[in-house]
Amino acid sequence: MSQSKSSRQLGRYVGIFTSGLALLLISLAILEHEGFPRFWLGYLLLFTSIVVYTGIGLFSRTSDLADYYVAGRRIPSLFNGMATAADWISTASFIGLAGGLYLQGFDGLAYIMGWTGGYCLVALLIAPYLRKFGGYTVPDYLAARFGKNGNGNSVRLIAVAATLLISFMYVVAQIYGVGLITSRFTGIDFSVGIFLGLASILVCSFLGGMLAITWTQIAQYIIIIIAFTIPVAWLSAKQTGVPIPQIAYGSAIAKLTAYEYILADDSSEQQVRDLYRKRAENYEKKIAQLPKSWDEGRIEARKNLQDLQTNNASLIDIKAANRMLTDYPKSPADAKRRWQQEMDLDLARSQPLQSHTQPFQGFDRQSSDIKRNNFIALMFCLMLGTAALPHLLMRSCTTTSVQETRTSVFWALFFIMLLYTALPAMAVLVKFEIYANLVGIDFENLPSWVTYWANIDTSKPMISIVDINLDGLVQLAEITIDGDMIALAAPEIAGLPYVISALIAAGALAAALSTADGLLLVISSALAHDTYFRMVDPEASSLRQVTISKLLLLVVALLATYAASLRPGDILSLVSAAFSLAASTLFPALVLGVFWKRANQQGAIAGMLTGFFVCLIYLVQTSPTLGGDISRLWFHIAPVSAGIFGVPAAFLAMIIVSLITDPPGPDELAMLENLRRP
Amino acid sequence: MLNQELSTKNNASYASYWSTVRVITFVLLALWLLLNFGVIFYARELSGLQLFGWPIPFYMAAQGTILIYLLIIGGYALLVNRLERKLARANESKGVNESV
Repeated sequence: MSQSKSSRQLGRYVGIFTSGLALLLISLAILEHEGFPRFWLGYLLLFTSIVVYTGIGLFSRTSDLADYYVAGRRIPSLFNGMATAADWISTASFIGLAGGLYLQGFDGLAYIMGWTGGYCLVALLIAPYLRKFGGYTVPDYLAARFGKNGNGNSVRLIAVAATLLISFMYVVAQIYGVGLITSRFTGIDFSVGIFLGLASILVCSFLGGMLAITWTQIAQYIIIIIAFTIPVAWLSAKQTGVPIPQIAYGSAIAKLTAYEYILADDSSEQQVRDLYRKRAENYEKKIAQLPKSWDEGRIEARKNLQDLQTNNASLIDIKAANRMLTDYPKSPADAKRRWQQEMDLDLARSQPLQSHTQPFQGFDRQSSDIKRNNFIALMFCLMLGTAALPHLLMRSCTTTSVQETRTSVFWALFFIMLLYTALPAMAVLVKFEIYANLVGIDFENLPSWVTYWANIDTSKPMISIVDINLDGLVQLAEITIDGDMIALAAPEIAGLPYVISALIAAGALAAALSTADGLLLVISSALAHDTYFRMVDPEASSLRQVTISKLLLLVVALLATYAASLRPGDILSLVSAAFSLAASTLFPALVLGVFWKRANQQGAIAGMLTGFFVCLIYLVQTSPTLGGDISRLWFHIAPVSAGIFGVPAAFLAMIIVSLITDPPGPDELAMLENLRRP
Repeated sequence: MLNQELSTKNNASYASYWSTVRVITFVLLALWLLLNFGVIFYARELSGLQLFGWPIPFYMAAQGTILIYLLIIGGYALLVNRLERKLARANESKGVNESV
C-alpha cells in the first residue's frame, strides 16, 4: 500500500518536473525568437539542468548506510527501471552511437543489439539472485557464494580489482564527454568544463549516495529522452509525414537506397574518388622513396614560401605556405607515419559508396564472412559484458523485493528501447537529409551548420568539405564527417531552432553525468565497503563507513577528472573493450555461482583470473592503441571483442578447477539454497 | 512431528519451484540465443526481403530483436512472479508460518 502511494507521489514529481522542463523550453524558444544570443541559450539550459541535479543531490543527502549504498531498497520497479536506463545510457550511446550507425550502416547495429540483448541475461541469470542475496555490491555477493563463512576474501579481492579497472575506464570516458559537451556548447575551456561537470556529479553522489543518484537519474532520463526524441520526430515528420520514427522510417530507407544508387553511378562522384586514389598512390610513391622524398618536399615547401614572398602574393597565400612549412614532418620517420595515415585516409575515401542497409559488404565472400563473424563476436561480448557491469547490476539491488527486481529489468529495457530504436532512425534520417540537401549544392551556398561545425575545432574539424575536383559543387565523396557530430548537430541539420540544439546538449550532458554518478558510487563502494569494511576494519561504524566512502569518492573523482583532462583519445576507443573485460572476468562466476552447485572457490578464482588475463593479453597483443599489432589477430576477430576468447576460457578454467578440487562447503551450499528459493 | 512433515513438504515444493524456474530460464535463453544468432548469421540471405519498407535483417537488428528481448524479459517476470505468488498462497493455506 505504502508502495503504491510512493509510486503515485513519484509520478507526481515526474509530472511536475516534465512540465517545468516544457515551460523552460517554451520560454527559451520565445527568447530566441526575440533575438536573444544563441550562446546564452546554451548557457542557460546547461546550467539550469546542472543546478537542478545539484538541488536534488542536496535535498536527498544522507548518512544512512542502506540509503547510501542501495537507496534504502525502496524504489518502485517502474522508477528503478527509469533510473537504470539513465545509468545505462552513456555518452557513448547518446553521442557516439548515432554517428557510428551513420558511418557503418548495418554493421554498427551490433552495438544496438549487444547493449539491449544483454538485458535478457541480466534479467534471467543475474539480477534476481543478486537482489535475493541482499548485499550491497557484486564483490560482496561473489565472496558470499565462494568462501567459507560467506567470506571469500580472495574472490572478493579479484572482483574488486576487476570492478575498479572496468569502472574507471568507463568513468574517464564519461567525464571526457562532459568536457567535450560543455566546451562545445558554452565556449568555456575544456578543462574548466570537466571541473564544472565534476562539481555537479560530486554534490549528487557525494552527499546522497544511491538515493540521491536515483532521483537525479530519473530527472536525467526525462531530459535525455525528450532531447533525443524531438529532433528525430521532427525529421521523421518532415521526411515521411509521420512523427513516430520507429514506425515510419522504413519509407525513408527506401528513398535513401534510391539516392545511393544514383550517387554510386554519378560521374563526378567517380571523378572525386579517382582523384583520392591518385593522391593515395602519390603518398605511396613518396613513402617508397624515403628519405630522399622527405628532403625534396621540405626544400620545395621552403622555396614555395620564398617565391610567394618575393612575388608579393596575398597574405592568405603566404600564411598558408608558411603553415605548410611549419607542419611539415620533422623527420623521415615522422613523414613515413604521417604519410601512411594520409594514404590510408585517401584510400578509404576512394572506396565506392556502401549501402546503408546491406549487411557485411566486402570485396569477396571471405571478407564479408570476416565482417559477419566480427559482428557476432562483438554482439556477444557486449551482451555478456552488459550482464557483468557492476554499476548496472548494483541498480537491481535498490528495489523493494525480488519480484520487483524482475519487473524493474523489464522497465529498464523498455525505457532504453525508446532511445535505442530511435538511434538507427536518426542515422538514416540525417543521412537522407545530407544526401538530398547537401550533396550537389554550390560551395557558395553551404548551409550555416556546416560552417559552424567546421570551425568549432579547426585543428580537428568535425566536418570538412573540400572541392577536390574543383567543379564548385559538393560531392558526397568530398564530405568528411566525424560521427560524434551527428547527434549533436541533428537539430540544426533538421532546421530546428537553436534551443533544441541546446536541449540535445543538455541531454548529452545528462547521459554523461548519470552514468558517471553510478560509476563513481560503484568504485567508491568497492573500495570503502569491500576493501575497507570487509577486509581492513570490520568493526567500523556505519557513519564511519559512509564518511570513508564519500572521501574515497572524492579522490577517485579527482583522479578520473585528471585522467580525462589529459584528453586520452585512445581511452575512448577502449571503453568498448571494458565490456570484454567485464564479460571474461565476472560473467562466468556470476552465472555458474547460481546455476551450478559444484562451482567452488578455487574454480571461481581460476575462472576469473583466466578470463581476465586471456582477455587482457589478447587486447595488448592486437590493439594498435596498446602497442599491439593487428597481424596477430585470431580468426580475424577485432581486439575489442577479446571477450569471445576470454569468456569460454574462463568457463573452462572454472569448471575444470572446480571439479578437481573439493566441493563447496556447507556455508556456501546453504547460501546457494537460499538464493534458489523464492 | 507434524511440523517436520510440513517442512519436508515445503522443501519438496521449493525444489519443484527451482526446477520450474530453471526450465523457464533455459527455454527463454535458448530462444534468445537462436534469435541473435539466426538473424545475424543469415542476414545476407534475408536482406532481399522487405517488411514495411525495411529490409528484414535491418529491421530485426534495429528494433525487431529489441521488442522480442522485451517480451522475453516480460514473460520471465510474469511467469516466475506468478509461480512465487502461487507458492506463497499454497504455503499459507497449509498453515506454514513464514520461517524462511
